[in-house]
Amino acid sequence: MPERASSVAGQVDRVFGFIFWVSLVSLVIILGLTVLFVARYRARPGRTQPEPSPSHHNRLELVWSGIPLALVMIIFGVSTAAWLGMVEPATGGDPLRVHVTGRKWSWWFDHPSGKGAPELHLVAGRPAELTLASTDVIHSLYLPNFRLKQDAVPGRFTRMRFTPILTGTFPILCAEYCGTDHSRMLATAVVHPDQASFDAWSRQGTGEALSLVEVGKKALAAKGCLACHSLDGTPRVGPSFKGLWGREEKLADGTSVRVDENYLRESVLKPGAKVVAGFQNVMPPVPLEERELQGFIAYLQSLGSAP
Amino acid sequence: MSTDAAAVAEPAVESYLRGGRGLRSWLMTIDHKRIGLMYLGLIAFALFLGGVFAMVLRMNLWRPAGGLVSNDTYNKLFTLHGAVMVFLFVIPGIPAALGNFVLPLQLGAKDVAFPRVNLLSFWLFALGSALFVATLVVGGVDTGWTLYPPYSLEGARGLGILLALCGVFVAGFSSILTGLNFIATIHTMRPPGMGWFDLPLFLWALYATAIIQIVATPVLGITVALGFMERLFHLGLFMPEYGGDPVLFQHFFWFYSHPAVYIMILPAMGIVSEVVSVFSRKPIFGYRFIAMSSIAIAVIGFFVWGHHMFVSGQSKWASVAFSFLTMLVAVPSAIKTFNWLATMYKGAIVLKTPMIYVLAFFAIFGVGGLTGLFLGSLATDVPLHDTYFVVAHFHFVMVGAVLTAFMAGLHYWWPKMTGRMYSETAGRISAILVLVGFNVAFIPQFLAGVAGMPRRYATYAAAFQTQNRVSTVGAFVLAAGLLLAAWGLLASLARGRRAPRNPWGAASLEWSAASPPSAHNFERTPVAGHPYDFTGLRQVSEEAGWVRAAGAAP
Amino acid sequence: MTSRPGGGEAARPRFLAEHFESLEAQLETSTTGIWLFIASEVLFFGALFTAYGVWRANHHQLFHYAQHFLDWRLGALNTLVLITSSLSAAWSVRCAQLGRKSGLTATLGLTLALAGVFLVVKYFEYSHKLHNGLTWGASFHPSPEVLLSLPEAIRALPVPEHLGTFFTLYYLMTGLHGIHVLVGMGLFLWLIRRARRGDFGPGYYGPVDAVALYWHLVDTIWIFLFPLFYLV
Ligand code: HEA
Ligand code: HEA
Ligand code: HEC
Ligand code: CUA
Ligand SMILES: [Cu+2]
Repeated sequence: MPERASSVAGQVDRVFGFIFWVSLVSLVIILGLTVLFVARYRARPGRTQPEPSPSHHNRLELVWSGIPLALVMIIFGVSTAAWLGMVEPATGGDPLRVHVTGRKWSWWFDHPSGKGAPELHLVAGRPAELTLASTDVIHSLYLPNFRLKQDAVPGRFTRMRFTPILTGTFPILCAEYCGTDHSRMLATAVVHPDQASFDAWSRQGTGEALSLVEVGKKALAAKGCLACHSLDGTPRVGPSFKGLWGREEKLADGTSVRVDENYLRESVLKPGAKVVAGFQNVMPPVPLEERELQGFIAYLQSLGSAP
Repeated sequence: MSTDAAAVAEPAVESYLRGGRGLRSWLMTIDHKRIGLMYLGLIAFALFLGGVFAMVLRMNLWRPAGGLVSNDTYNKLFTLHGAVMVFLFVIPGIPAALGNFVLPLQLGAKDVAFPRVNLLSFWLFALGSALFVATLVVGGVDTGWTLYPPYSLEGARGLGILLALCGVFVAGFSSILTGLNFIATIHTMRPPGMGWFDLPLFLWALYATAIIQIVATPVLGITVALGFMERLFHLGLFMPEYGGDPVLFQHFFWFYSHPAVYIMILPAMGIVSEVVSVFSRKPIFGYRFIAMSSIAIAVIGFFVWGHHMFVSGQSKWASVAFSFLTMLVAVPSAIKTFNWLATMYKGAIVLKTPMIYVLAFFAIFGVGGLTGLFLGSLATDVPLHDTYFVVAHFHFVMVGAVLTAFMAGLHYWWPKMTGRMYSETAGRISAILVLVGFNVAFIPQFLAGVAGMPRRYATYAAAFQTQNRVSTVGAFVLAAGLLLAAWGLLASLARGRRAPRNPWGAASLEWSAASPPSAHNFERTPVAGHPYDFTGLRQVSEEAGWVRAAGAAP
Repeated sequence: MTSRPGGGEAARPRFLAEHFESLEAQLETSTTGIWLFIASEVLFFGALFTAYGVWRANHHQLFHYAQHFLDWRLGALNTLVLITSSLSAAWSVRCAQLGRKSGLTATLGLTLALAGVFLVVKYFEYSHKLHNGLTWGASFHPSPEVLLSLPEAIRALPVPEHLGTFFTLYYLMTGLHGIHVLVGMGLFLWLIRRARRGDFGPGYYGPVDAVALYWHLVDTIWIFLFPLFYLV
């Protein structure tokens, strides 16, 4: 198995090992009995008829229904526990937020500093939070060393949270079939030893390309969002964007939602879907492009979340 | 049968093969036996076609850079390989080909409930297959057999995908009609004295299968129909650009395609139950548990489809629920496995070809099923999903288990179908070759998968070269085994000696009909005894086969 | 049934297929068959209803809006028509069992006619929509007139996107149902011809029974479609 490079890899391998041994034992039993019986009871001169033996035995059969049942339930328990640990938000530390875009047939990673690159850069020991999007078909970001995989589905955002623990470079592959060069849709993940070296990297040659945050900022002005949304917290026609990211938003229908990527996407593209409490449902659906949308979100994140 | 003489004497009945000559008498027949044989021909061809594709795949994977065929060709090849093997070989394989032939015979009936419907479903199947072959002509499809949008419904995919969707749709209807026919037959045409728990287990398996066919296949039909129209009219159901949801398609697809894997395995398990009992000369152990576990698998199998979508972004708790049910569905299979083993205990095991295939089944299905647990468990599926581990898993169950059981059944019923005995030596050697070749071909794929090699890769990292080369070698051994088997069977038509009514000493009804049976199956309606009661059966001679001694309970 | 050597004796009833022992057995079998067929039909539509449900859940405001394009009065009328036709279909089975030839042809004819009415009404609905650009999916471009015909409250709302998908589902589901109605009409024609020939009677009425069952299914499906699309 590939070297374990993420906080979750350890658990995953433990679960794998557990299932492996359960299976091995079951398999040895089956093969053993098969071979044994064939050897012992093969029909040969002097053994043309079977020996008398019962044609069913409920207690016995319940036993070999019960044991596998117990085993699979244990497997389920162990594995699900580990898995929930994988998908639950990485607690503590402000995560390193990277916006990942899959497209035929390459990956693009927008890092917080505004630096976009064809490779993923992370910091060892600092939690990472990847937001995956796709511009064409379904791709799947696969990091074997991190024991992680997540589809990038067009039309919605998916998320991946983990903490790299080893420094170095690791392969990234596309695991969901996406056409001609699916097998060449590769990239690398670079894990920096510390924040300093990460920053050093991200300063190199920024500027020429618009950073994602700037794209977002521009869009807000250009598409007239700021007519109704302030940035300083004063509510206008619409709620202010200040401290919006990550807060619990109360809705007109009494329910409330946490403001995350998909909520924001919906609020922009289908404003009527979830109306914020205390506001009129007057926001027009605004056709932001995928990248502008990502930018808008990155920008809100850069504004920071409510205290 | 009262006396040996009566059994040995060539029955004076006209075989269903001779009655009625000419092509038309076959293509328009409503005789379930002839329909079964025609199915057999088609699916053997499908297996061959799919196999050839597979061999090209394997050869291309000989070198990490590929290069034998272009990426696009490779993608088309594994798509067609998968689609042909699944929709045209495994799913119809055992039920439609062997099932059609055996089911009425095992019931002592003259035919299935709706003979005309049976013919109709054969023709639908033929049409569906034709549509698939047509996709080859128009340049193939490269969507993967799972047909995931948006990729599969992009304009660039061309005509091929449309034909393929039609093919699936039509073949689906054939499958529904067959299932309908089988359930009606088993319900209403059991002979006097055959209660539900006197059914041969093969029929229980077919019954459970038919339930799945009827309930799941319509959903597949509507799904591909929707895909078809989405592609043409941009309905906005599956394609994000028109406001659709691609994951919805995945739910629909797997709602059929997971139960479909049990459409494949259940009949295979049925064959195993028959063969293991007959060749251990012992009644099957725990009849009721085996029968009921078939039903259990059929029912639970409907609620686990989400285990194919753990990383697709479906909701967290949905994944947990699907994982839980997936674990549950493994248990009935475990029960069956142990009951089969118990059947051999203290038996008198005869190692004829069908039995050798069945022994291979035990080992391979064990591995294939257990690796399913790695995939059903959430934490381990995340890294393993869409790697060669999955590829290896489903080849273990579909090739190693289903194809093996199919071969077992084919050899087991061959004398009844053709009236000829195949050559045991050829049969035994082929069985061994298949077992060995298979493991050499697919065990390395587990290793590649665990090491992180994704599936559907025309080119791969040099690190995986060894596994792939070994796998390719194994694939050729496997192919050789199957070809030998095919040759052995076909040769028997010309050279094989005449088969007696009951060459294996089995107790189920089909063996009391002539080999091959008459157009009406039985000279007189047979009396049903218990299908696994071997008392009083004794072998007159290899040539004359087995008969029940006078006076012994029928 | 092409009679094969060793087939039925002279005394066999005319419509007894030779692989059955008795008409009862044959009837039981065909009823089982038709019920299984209905089961798979239900699943067939079930998939579409699921698609509907998913979309409804994700875009409720869209449905609230789009539903005003449909005229519930026409829908209600059709519901009435179908229910009546179901009744007369049921009645025809009874006639067949009692061997009332004239009653049988009459009831079958009535059912056929009502099915026809249903399709005519549907035709008007469809053509009106297609004229006004209320088509499916991406090609959906409502004409100004229809938009004006909407109630005030609705017109105030911003036009939700993907309105077309509502009509996608509408055309798919009512269309598939319509095809079933057509098939049903064909079956009734066939039955009428045989009834005229006097094929049916107390001994043999399987086909009538089967077709009637099928027709009840078609009716039931509509009874689900009507509220889901017209009333929401
Ligand atoms: C014949 C077909 C067949 C059968 C029978 C099975 C059987 C099972 N399958 Fe498999 N499966 C496929 C065909 C099949 N599968 C295919 C085609 C795919 C891939 C499709 C694609 O993506 O292209 C797939 C993919 C697949 C996945 C998705 C993987 C992924 O894409 O990430 C999963 C996940 O849960 C899974 C699980 C299982 C399980 C738990 C069983 C269980 O039913 C197995 C039960 C059997 C046993 C457990 C072994 C026998 C019992 C013993 C040896 C006794 C000891 C037992 C215990 C201790 C429990 N299968
Ligand atoms: C029942 C189904 C089935 C069967 C039998 C097989 C059989 C084989 N499969 Fe395949 N396979 C699939 C179902 C099946 N497969 C599916 C569903 C996929 C996924 C596709 C996708 O990703 O979309 C797949 C994908 C797949 C891949 C992965 C491709 C990729 O992801 O890049 C590979 C690679 O090695 C492979 C190899 C093989 C090989 C070597 C065989 C060998 O076992 C073939 C050996 C057989 C022959 C050589 C033919 C010989 C037969 C005869 C001569 C006729 C004899 C007739 C009688 C005896 C009656 N298969
Ligand atoms: C005509 C005024 C108007 C314009 C222009 C407008 N909005 Fe809004 N927006 C609103 C109102 C009113 C609400 C609150 C009601 C609701 O949620 O629909 C809102 C809500 C939102 C929300 C949810 C905020 C929360 O507190 O949950 C987001 C996000 C948002 N708008 C983003 C945008 C973006 C991005 C743009 C420009 C591309 C934009 N809006 C343009 C009026 C407007
Ligand atoms: Cu991108 Cu595969
Ligand atoms: Cu599955």
